[in-house]
Amino acid sequence: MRGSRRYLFLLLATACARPAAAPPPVAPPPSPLTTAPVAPIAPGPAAPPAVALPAPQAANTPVELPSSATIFIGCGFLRVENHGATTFSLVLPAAKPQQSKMNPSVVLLDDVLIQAAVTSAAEIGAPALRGQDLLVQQMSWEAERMAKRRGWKNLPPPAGQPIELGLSRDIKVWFWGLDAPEPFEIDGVKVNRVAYLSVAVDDVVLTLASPLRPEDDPDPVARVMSRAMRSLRRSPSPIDAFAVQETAMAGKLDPAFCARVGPS
Amino acid sequence: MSKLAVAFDLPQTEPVETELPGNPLATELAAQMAGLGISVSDVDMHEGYGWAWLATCEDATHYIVLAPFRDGEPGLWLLRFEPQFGLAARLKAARYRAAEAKLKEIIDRLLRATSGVTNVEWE
Repeated sequence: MRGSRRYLFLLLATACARPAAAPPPVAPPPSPLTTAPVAPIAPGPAAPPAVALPAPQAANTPVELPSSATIFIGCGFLRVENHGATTFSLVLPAAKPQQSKMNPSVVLLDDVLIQAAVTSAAEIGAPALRGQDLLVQQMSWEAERMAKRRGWKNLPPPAGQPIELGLSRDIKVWFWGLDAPEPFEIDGVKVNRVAYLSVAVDDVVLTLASPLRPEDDPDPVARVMSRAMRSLRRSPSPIDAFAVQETAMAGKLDPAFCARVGPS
Repeated sequence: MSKLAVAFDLPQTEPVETELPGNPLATELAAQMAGLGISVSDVDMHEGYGWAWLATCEDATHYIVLAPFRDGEPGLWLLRFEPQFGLAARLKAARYRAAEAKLKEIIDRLLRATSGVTNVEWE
């Protein structure tokens, strides 16, 4: 596992990181890759408090902010998402974080390869959908794109289920997977499954995806992705990723960011 | 007005049934950027979401994704930008911000000068 994951990242930069410690126990959801039945979920607890972010921009001031950014913060990466009125961030935790030099949205979190991608209800042709309905639609959309890209004619319907991570009640999370009809290669490694964890925040869908080899256990992947997703917080104003990056670079970042995921 | 991404219209020249159109347009945009002195990578597919390349302007690198089918319709496009900070980022925020602003100005000019492109709108 470790060797092949490293092979997937021939072009990765490496990082200094904190010494590894035992991760906090996080119960992984049952894998939808084994076509678990979809069960309704209970309403979640109250929303976690928003975290103060450096240098928020005044609402009436023209801003030049990236819509998405992945910032190294020592305990992993802070993924920032600015999409108009919808702004949120989450921590991608790792004791040994690495990042692709070819795509900032591709990271290696303690040997688990994760690619983050964002889309919107409008982009997938369902502008009115929100919440779980949007996530189910996005799953079908992404599976169809994947099938056509790979030339698969007989892709089994993707299977998924909602999971409860203690986020705000208006933020829905969907764990799902694709079983490819034939192995395919990612950077020279044969994989045959992809595990996804998607979240809908208003009309925005952020998806964490991780490819799996036939022999890989999806539970550690699910654990990493759910730990990251659990750290998602809305922000009351756009997040100045450049200011956050500079603050992190100076070693002065608010410890509240890493506290979202606990010690790693 | 914030400038998170730029939307524009350009009639799709590839067959409508092409699953992920935009490679020629992305390649052309990247080539034009290179012609203006910006260091660019090859264009590659960003999974099913679009076509992507890296552009380095004033020491700051951005990952650019050209997404087809904005609003589910062919001929409507969206360009997204993501800074590539890396793990050893050295630039101050002001430098990144200035570089991104310049990159977006260049892309805005390129799009407006491209035959057939209409409704260039930053959103």
